[in-house]
Amino acid sequence: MRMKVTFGLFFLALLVSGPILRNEPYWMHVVIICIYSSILAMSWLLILRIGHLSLAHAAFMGIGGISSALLVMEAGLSFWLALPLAGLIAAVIALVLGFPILRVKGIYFLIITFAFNELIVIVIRNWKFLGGYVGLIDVPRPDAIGGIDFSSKVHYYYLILFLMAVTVIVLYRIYSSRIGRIFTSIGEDEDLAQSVGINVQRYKLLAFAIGCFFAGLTGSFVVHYLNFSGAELFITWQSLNIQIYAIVGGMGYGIGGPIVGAFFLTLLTQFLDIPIKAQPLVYAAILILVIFFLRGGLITLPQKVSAGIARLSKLWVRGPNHGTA
Amino acid sequence: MPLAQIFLNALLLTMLYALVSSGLTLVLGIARIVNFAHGALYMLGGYIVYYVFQEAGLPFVAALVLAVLGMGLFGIFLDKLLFRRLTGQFFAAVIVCLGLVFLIEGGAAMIFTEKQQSLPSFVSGTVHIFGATLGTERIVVIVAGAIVMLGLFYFINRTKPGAAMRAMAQDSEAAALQGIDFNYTSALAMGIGCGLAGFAGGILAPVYGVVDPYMGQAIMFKAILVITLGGFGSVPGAFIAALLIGLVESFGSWYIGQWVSAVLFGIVIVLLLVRPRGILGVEYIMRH
Repeated sequence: MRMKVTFGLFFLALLVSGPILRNEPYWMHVVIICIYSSILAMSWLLILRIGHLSLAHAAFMGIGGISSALLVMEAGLSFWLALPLAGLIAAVIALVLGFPILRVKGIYFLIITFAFNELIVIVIRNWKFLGGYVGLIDVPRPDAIGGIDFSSKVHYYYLILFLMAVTVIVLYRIYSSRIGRIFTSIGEDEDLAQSVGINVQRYKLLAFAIGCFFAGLTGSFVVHYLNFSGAELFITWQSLNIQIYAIVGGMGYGIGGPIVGAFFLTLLTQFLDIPIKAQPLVYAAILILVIFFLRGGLITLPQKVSAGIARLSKLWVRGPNHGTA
Repeated sequence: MPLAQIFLNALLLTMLYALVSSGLTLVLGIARIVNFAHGALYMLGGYIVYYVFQEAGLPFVAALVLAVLGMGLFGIFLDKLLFRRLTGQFFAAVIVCLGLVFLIEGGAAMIFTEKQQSLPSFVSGTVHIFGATLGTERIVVIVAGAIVMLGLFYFINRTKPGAAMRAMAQDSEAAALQGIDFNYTSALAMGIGCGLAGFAGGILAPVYGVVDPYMGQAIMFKAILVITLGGFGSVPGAFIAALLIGLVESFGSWYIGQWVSAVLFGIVIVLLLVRPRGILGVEYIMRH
């Protein structure tokens, strides 16, 4: 536990001091992607925690993003109001959708969320108001506060870092509380949870809404960061991408896993200079390898390695009789 | 007269969806996995025909046979390598299948380039029926598709291996107790199911005139819709559903254009909430 906290703080310090150590826009852009990807992955994992594999996470990101863009561009709201509203809109839609669909079992829920994501993309593409095929261009930057006018990537960097911190804190509080345990119990065995008096439907809705809230929030950030909102950002492949981050990182660790996965995969793409076209291939290959050989995810690698070393060293020290002689 | 045209177009779509979906539902019934990568197999079937027929100049039938065999074998390979190790692990299987889609498509994009490749039809000319004009190849596809579907029905309902597959889909343990060879039947089902996908891809590529690495995706959405409507694991259900969806799509795109896809997706969602078992399926029991 102490190890986790120390490592977490060290990582946080690294992130906070990042732009100071290396004030270079391209690198900051990469880390910004890492950070918002990890928020998406963490919020997705919350939904998995209650036993539902959602393929609609990108759609909710889109709902948040487009709502935010429209609120600012059409209704003239300030970004700082649009950001939380975007999250709320996504959460409300999640509640409305979740009400019927959270009742159904795994495979059906999967297909429904898949269909929902596709549906949202089609609606966006066919409705000029939401962007159409071209998308919404010239989405304005966040309104200036203090001296920060978001003309430089550094400003966006700290904004998203702040949002990530909020997400981490909220999720940490949830997971270490009674509610978090209820979520886990629902995920493990819904019927058993219900039999001890847990209102399964209500907690599922809560988890789904919270997860989609953060997706919406991230969507808002992304469209104002890219100054663009297009259907391509929210396609079902993005939903799968988010899953891959969480699973490759480690499904068992609600906060650490997705962060590890998002950072590892995004940075890998950069360092190995993987072309955009090849990225799905590489991610998918890594995903399949992880499922078969390292189910717990990359975050369990240190454990597995040290356990392996411990076993090897026992053999080495005690000899072929394994210490029994 | 558009009505006949629309209806014939619907028949074409029906055959396409029926071929792809019956393979998918067959695999589902046996391996208990929704193979999301089925669309990718359709795509590969199309590419095999492209390379063998268009590039190498061999006769179309040869190309088609190669597509079927190739995809059949590939399906068996996938089963042995991946699906067999994931029995009972629902989420893992789904994730692996989803990953496979992008693996196969990504590989195809890299090897075949992302460009659309065009290929000509295997027979030229047009046909006039009931006042509608269709390219001859479309009629051929409709007829060929019908023959294949009939062959499939006959195989499943009137032959011993077919009965074995039906038994396994109903209750694999009881089937094993009856002496049905699990491995052989499984491989057979996978081979046939994936071969069907390859056949569909191969025979439809010349009709649509193009192949590209992502053409499996659109098919996949429809296939999932079809097997959901028809009932998981039911081949006749898949056929009826394919007919319905083909009609809806054909008439729908005539009257409401692009939005027909949205309507179809809306239908899936409602369907899964109201009657998940579809027309002819039984309630899908997940084994943990």
